[in-house]
Amino acid sequence: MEKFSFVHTSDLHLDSRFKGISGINDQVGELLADATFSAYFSIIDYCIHHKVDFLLIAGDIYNAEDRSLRSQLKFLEGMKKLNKYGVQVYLVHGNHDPLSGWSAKLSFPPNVHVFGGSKVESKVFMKHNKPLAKIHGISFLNRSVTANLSKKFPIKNFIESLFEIGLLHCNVGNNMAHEPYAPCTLQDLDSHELDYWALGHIHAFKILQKEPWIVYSGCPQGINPKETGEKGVMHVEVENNKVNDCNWIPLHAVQWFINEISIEGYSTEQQLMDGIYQEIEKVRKKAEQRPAILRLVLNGRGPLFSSLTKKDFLEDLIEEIRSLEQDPAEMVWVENIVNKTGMSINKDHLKQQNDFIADLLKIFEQSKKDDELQTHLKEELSPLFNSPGGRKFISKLSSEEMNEIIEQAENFCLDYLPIGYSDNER
Amino acid sequence: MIFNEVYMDGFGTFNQFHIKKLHPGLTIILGNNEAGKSTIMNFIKRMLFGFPDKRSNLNLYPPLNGGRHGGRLMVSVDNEPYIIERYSEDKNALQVILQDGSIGSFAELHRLTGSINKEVYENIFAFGLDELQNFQTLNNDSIKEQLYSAGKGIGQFSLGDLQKEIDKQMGLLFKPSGSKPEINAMLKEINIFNQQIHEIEKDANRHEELNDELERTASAIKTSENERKKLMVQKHTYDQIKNTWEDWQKLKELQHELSQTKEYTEFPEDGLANLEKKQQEICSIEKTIEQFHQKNVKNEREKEKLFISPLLLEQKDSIYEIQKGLKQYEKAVIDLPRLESNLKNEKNGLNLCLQEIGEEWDLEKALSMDISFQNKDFIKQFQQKKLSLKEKNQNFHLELNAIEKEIYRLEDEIQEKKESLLDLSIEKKENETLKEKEKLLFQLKMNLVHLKENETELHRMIEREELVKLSSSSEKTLENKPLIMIFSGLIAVLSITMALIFFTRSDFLFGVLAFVAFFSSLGLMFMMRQKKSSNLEHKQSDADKIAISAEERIKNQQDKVDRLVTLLKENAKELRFHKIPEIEEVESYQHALQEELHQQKIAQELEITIAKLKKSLEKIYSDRDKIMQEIEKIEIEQNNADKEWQTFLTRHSLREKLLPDSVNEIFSNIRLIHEKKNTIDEYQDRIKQVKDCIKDFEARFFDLMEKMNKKVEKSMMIPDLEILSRELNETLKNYELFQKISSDQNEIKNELEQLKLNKEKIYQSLQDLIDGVHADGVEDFIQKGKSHERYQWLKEQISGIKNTIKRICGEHEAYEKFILQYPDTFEELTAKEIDLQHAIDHNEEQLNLLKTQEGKLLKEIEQIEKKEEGSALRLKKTVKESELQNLSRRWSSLVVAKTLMRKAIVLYEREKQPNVMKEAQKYFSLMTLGKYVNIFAPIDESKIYIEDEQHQRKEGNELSKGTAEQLYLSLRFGFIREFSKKSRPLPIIFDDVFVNFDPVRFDATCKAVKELADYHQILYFTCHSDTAEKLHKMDTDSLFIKLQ
Repeated sequence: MEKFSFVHTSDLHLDSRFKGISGINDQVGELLADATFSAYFSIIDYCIHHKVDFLLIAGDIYNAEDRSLRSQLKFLEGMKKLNKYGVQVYLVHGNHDPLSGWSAKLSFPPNVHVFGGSKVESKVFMKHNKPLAKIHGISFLNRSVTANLSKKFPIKNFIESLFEIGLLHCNVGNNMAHEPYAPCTLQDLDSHELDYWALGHIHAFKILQKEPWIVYSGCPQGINPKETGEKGVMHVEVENNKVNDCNWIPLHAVQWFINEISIEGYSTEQQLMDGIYQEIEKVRKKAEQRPAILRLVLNGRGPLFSSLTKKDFLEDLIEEIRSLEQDPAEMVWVENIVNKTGMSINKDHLKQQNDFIADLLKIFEQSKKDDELQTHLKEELSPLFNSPGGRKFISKLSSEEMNEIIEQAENFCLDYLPIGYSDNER
Repeated sequence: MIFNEVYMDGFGTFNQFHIKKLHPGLTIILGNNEAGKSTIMNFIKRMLFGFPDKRSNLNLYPPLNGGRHGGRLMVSVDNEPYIIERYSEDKNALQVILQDGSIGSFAELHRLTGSINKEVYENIFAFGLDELQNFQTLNNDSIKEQLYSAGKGIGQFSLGDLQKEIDKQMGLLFKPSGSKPEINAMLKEINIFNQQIHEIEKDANRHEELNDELERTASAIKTSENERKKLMVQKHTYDQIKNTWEDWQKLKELQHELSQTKEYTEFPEDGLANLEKKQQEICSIEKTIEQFHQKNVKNEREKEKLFISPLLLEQKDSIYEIQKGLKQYEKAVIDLPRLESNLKNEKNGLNLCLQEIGEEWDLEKALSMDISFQNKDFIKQFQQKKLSLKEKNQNFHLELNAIEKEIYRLEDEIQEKKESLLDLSIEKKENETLKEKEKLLFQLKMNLVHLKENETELHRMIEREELVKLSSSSEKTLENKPLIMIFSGLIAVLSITMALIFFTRSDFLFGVLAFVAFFSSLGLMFMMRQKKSSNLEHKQSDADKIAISAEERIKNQQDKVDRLVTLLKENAKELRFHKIPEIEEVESYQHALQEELHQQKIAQELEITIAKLKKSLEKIYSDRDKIMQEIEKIEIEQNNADKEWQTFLTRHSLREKLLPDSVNEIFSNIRLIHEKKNTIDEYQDRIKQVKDCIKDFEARFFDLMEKMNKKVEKSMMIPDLEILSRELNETLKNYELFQKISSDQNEIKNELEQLKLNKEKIYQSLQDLIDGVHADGVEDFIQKGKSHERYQWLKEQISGIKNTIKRICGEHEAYEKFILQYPDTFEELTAKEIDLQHAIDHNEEQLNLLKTQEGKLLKEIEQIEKKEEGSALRLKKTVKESELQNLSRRWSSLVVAKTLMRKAIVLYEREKQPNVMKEAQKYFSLMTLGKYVNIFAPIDESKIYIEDEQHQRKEGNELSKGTAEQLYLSLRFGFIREFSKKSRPLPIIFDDVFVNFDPVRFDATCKAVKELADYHQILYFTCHSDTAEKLHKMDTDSLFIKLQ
């Protein structure tokens, strides 16, 4: 029996917009604009370099809604490159690039095999004129496929004695963090007894089951600050119809980090700076000579709270940290410093005083629970949120966010007011 | 804070005005109009809050009477002193001098004043009647804020400031109708991004459209190109027809002629050509034979013309040999006289050389002279040796002269020193004796000085003893005379009498003075008495003790003197004095002794010098002897050298006393003679060789001429030889030509025979050719041959033309198909061609249009595909959207902060009356003697209400002038009290604010002031002395200052 190998990837999201990112300069902008492409071409180069026989792409190659011609042209460029080296490509479309969605009129080279959306299709992989594997797959016809597509897949044909693969974009086990498209259970997939399920849709790498293998390769490039950690592809080697070796290979171009630093124990701004620099160096080491984008979350209570709430303090701090980054290859770009710190005061104690501060704190507390008061606050906010621009570009405040805002407002007032000043004090 | 001192350097009319002490409680400052009360009050305010702007309408109080505009305020806070100093030259030049001498500025001042602002201080703490009467002075935002902030638990913090800050920050973030705030600007920016992205998305659609169009265009191009291909094939065919038109026409003609021509199949191939060729060959052979005959005749004639001399041919080698020797012979004839002349010159030169070295020299002697290198070297060494010895000799003589001069100098110096020694003519004494004497003299002198001192001390002691005795007798005399006591008693009596008289007359002052005088005189008497008795007792016992010890000391001193005299006498004797000498004598003796010692020292030095000089002289004598010995040695060496030289001359038969240079010159001449002799020998050999050469050549020449039977003169040797050479050359040339002609003649003969044979053969083959076609002779053969050739030619031509056409259109079917397309006429072809060209042009036009279209489409597609800014734009938009979310949340938190704080303020103000009001109503009740009990100040109204005992409420402006002033004063007092609960109390300054108060309320107010003065320093300025006095009476601790 001949050996063969393949690479499994999904959710390339070429030319993604990196939702939720803020605070970048032109250099980082350029890096990010090219990040999904860089990761994609790393996959292409990896396939060529390791002489894999075929590449599986389990949907969401690009975002159809972005109508990015560049993403499709670049994708085609990669396919042509693989064709040159005789690497076959089997791909299905996902919820972000459904068959009915926009796509440029481009002709794929003959090595590219696209699965249709009306039924599960099966394509046989031949090596030296000998069939070695059979790939079953189905694309999303529309964006919102709510049917369990896995049920349409055939049961493994043990007579043919081929390595059989299921290629599907789906949400296994109703993962709430992702849209519930093509939902199915692990049992659904397992029941087909296929040798390998190459899944897409979930951006984090996860092996759901071994033998038979059910794998989410995850996306090769994190596309928003929350998609932290390494991203990559699965490289599978098959011998005698069985997975002989299986490795997950990190191929991301940029790595995202969200690290937290507590201000407790810091009494000076310099100490905070030192803490931040230490964190940055940790990230740099972890990123292993790849550019990293870091979002720092400051939390805890401490005397530095007051400094952190000063106007432009954080902006200046970020600016200073960024100015020290020189080498683009090993850059750790601090995208944002999120201030979730609090004052080092006992609010319960303050509430017990018979003064204005106590009244103020009580009103803040009440506003978190009182619907009428919240409605009033929302009315006050309406000049912005109900403005044409606000309606179009600013997301509505969730109740959780509203409470965060009330908390921030409370901290703002407390920071400004001379807390702990007794009337009897001279 | 308490004001301790005020120092005005230059302010208004004040110049270096200093109020050195202010009361920590109440200080009343009374002064008439223009006495400077307001000036002082304003000075204090300006020390605390600075000078107003020069452009303002306020009185600047320039220093009218000189001084620097400004001054100092000495204050104390928590019992620590501070100096606040300001001068108007520089508004920022505030100095707060701390206790430790360090200097602070605004921060320190703010700390001292509890960060109170100017407005509040001037309206609440330091005010005049104008401010008091105006409620608005209590109602501006700043004051109101301060009033209500009291009791909020936030100290002096201004909620208004916080609200303003929130408004400001909100305004910077977002304004519903603004464009500059961050959110507004960002929304605008995102809109622009959106538009740009929309444009890029349009590109995607356009890309699709373009691809469709490109597909259509490509299909049209393909169709058009196929059509074009067909047209071009047709065009090509027409071109081919056109190109072969003439061939086609000719083909048709040739085919026609062929059908008319007879073919002779037996006629040999190239028969006519063969016939012609053979006829031409025969003709050519006959022509050649004729040519050979003519050539034979010509050769015979030429042979006859040639002259050849057999004698010359025989002597050919001899002539060549003589010719070869001719050049050498000619050279020898020229060289001989020159060589002979040179020989003669050399011989003369040789004789001259011999004559130069002397008559006794002949050639043989000269040539036998040894002028080898050894002899020359000997001469050179002799010369160097002589020169070296001469130099040495000269050097030694120079050295000898110098030594002798040094000997003379040293001898003179020794003589001189000896004379100096004789001049000293001192008696030689033992140096140690002199030193001993010097020591004795020193001891004698020291003892003399001691004796003098001891004698003086002895005299002084004796005198003091006598004085002591005298003083004890005088004190005893004073004790018996109590004059002072009597005088004092008289004064005492007189004083008491006067005192009694003055008191009876009620003149207390003088009475008191008289009493003082009486007690003073009594005191004096008592003191005199006491002193006298104690002195007497002490002095008696002391005198006794002193008398005993003095006698002992005198006796000791006398002994000391006696011992010294004895010692001195011994010393004097040793130094041969007859008696104890005076110090001057001793010093004179010391001087003489010093002089003697000095002379002795000089003599010793001279003797040492002479000894040294003699030693040097002896060394120089020894050096002179050594040099003289060296000179003698050199002279001997010189003589030896001269002897060797004479021996050398004799050995070489040279004249005696010849100098080395002369010998060298003789040697040079002899070397020249050798050279000349060699040259003469060479010349003689050469002349011999030349003469032999001439002789040999002439012998050979004349021998040849004799063989040639020619008689020749010696002078004509060379011309004759030239003639002979020319003749030889001509004979040789003719002989060669003769040989060649003979050879040609033989060849021609052979050729002629061969030609005749060939001619016969050709005749035979010609006949065979004619017979082969059964022709009747050559003419018939030619006739038949021509017909045959024409037939063949026509066939070939037709085939050639066909091939030409086939090469163009193709073989077989293609050819058959092609020839069918030939039209009947050329005009018909031209017409068809024009039609086709039109079709081609049209097709090309269409194709060009389509290709241009395709190019445009491809370019546009490429441009769209190259656009990569979409990614960056989408990313930028995302970034902006994220930032917008953040900003919107920040703005929201500010809105929430503002809204909720406003709610809290309202709630607080509604529910809790500020403590200021509570304090104020206490004072108001006091001032109005309990008539009004309550004060209200609603937060949302700029009004104040009061309530009387019957709970009847009145507004501030409904009150009488005096009561309203009392109300506003109470409010100020309330504020001051409340303020000082949270901050350091500040001094209060009133400027005549009680003028409208009735006496009863005034008294009540004074009580309130007194109460306030327990906690605060108060400066009350007034021009009313009644007010001042009343206040002073009310608070007796107060300080009263009257301004002049």
